[in-house]
Amino acid sequence: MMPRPLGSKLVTPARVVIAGAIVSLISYGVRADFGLFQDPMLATRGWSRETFALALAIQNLMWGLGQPFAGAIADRYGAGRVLAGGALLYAAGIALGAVVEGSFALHLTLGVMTGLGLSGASMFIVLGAFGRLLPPERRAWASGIATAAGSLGQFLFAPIGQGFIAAWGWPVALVLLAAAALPIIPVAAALRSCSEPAVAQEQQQTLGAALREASAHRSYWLLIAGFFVCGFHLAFIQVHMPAYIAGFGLSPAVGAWAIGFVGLFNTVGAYAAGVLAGRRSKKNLLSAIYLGRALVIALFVLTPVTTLSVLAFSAAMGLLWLSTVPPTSGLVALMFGPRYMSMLFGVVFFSHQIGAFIGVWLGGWAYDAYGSYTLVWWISVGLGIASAALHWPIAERPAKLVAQGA
Amino acid sequence: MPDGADHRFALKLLAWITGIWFVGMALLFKAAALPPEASGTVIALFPIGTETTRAVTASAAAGAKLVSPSWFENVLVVADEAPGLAGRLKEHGALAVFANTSFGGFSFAGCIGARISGN
Repeated sequence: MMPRPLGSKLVTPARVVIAGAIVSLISYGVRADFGLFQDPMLATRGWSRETFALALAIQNLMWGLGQPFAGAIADRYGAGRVLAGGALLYAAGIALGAVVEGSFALHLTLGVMTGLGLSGASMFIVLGAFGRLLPPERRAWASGIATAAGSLGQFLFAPIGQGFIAAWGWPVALVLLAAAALPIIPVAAALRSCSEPAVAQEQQQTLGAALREASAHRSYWLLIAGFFVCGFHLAFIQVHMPAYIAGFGLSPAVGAWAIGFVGLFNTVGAYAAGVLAGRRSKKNLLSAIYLGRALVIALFVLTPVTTLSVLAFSAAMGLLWLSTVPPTSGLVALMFGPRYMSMLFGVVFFSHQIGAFIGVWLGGWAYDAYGSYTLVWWISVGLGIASAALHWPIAERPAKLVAQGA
Repeated sequence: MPDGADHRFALKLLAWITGIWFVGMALLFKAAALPPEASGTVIALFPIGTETTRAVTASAAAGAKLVSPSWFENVLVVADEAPGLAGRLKEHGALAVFANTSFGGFSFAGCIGARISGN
């Protein structure tokens, strides 16, 4: 497959895709393990749950805040350097988390350093590199593979982290996890080139001009608003779903299977979305995904909660989980080209993280206020419909053509 | 457009990743398993398909007290202070015995998850 060379004998499209998949798998996989350390770290260090939770909240915030900047650096100096630097910072933050004793130091290492490292070593930098290194007809498919690999990584790394802790204790396990992030550095070499002809044509545009062009483009704002809903859905469901299920007296095993189903179907859904985004209208695909989410959530809320309904909901939501990423990143690349894609998609992702924050917070607030999640479930349905409507009018053409009225 | 060769490429990549993962997990399981003389509060892993009642009965026969079930029917948290608990559990059908580390919570698919076990 994909025999076309990319200017270097070492950087072939197949190697680019494999490297991107490995980076996604590792960076998301390692991140999936942090929660496993909560109880053993609290028991040893005497921190409160709030202290640990704040470290992870800071990490998520720094990831979201750092993503546009990491993207801008990747756009300027190449994805390979940013991925390598991000992986180093990511690994250093994790490893130092094993030796810190104060809460401030924990927030600095596992929070700030790891979050910023993650923004440099994330799938979104990989997607930008795909935009520059792969032919247009392969980009959506490749982004589907990278997204699916990220989902798979989170699934595969959970027992690895647990095994590390069981075998060697949590401090050594953290250092081992840090070491597990380091292979990103050599692998990133396959993603270092930024000399594609398509990029060369756009070299004249400055970063500021790219930001001005994007901020004046209505469809970009629609995309940002739509991706906010993705974050809201994912975070609300992931954090509050176990408590919701438990409230109906179902066995905790149902929760485990539900998460397994989300992970399995998420991998399938992300890949399928990548394939479909290369063949069909990306904005229509996004409208369908968000409408599908609204429908699935509404059905789940309206039907009695049973083991079957939970598993069916998990499978359906899994298919729609990260399937938004390939068409969303594909639209950014289509609108503005690959030159500043990492930065511009980073801005879109920041909106996702804000949505995630509000989804988690609103779920907790609504439960405390009303004793149920019903209100937020219905808000999720409404937001799904709104997001489908927001994506519908997106102009699926390069922004320059839209500005010229073509 | 992606074609059959591309899908085969994706499947091969998946097969390689999961293959490497299985090998790594097998080694990790071996490293993480407690020696036969270990005791205290441990996680007993019984063969897949073992019902909780059978796992509890086997654990009791090994002299262990049930601390808590888990999300999986074939996995129990049990305890006994007398030396050799891990070995006795294996004699009574456990595939492996691990130190009791709780699943305090985790992140999944981009989000922070909630507590998943009452361990």
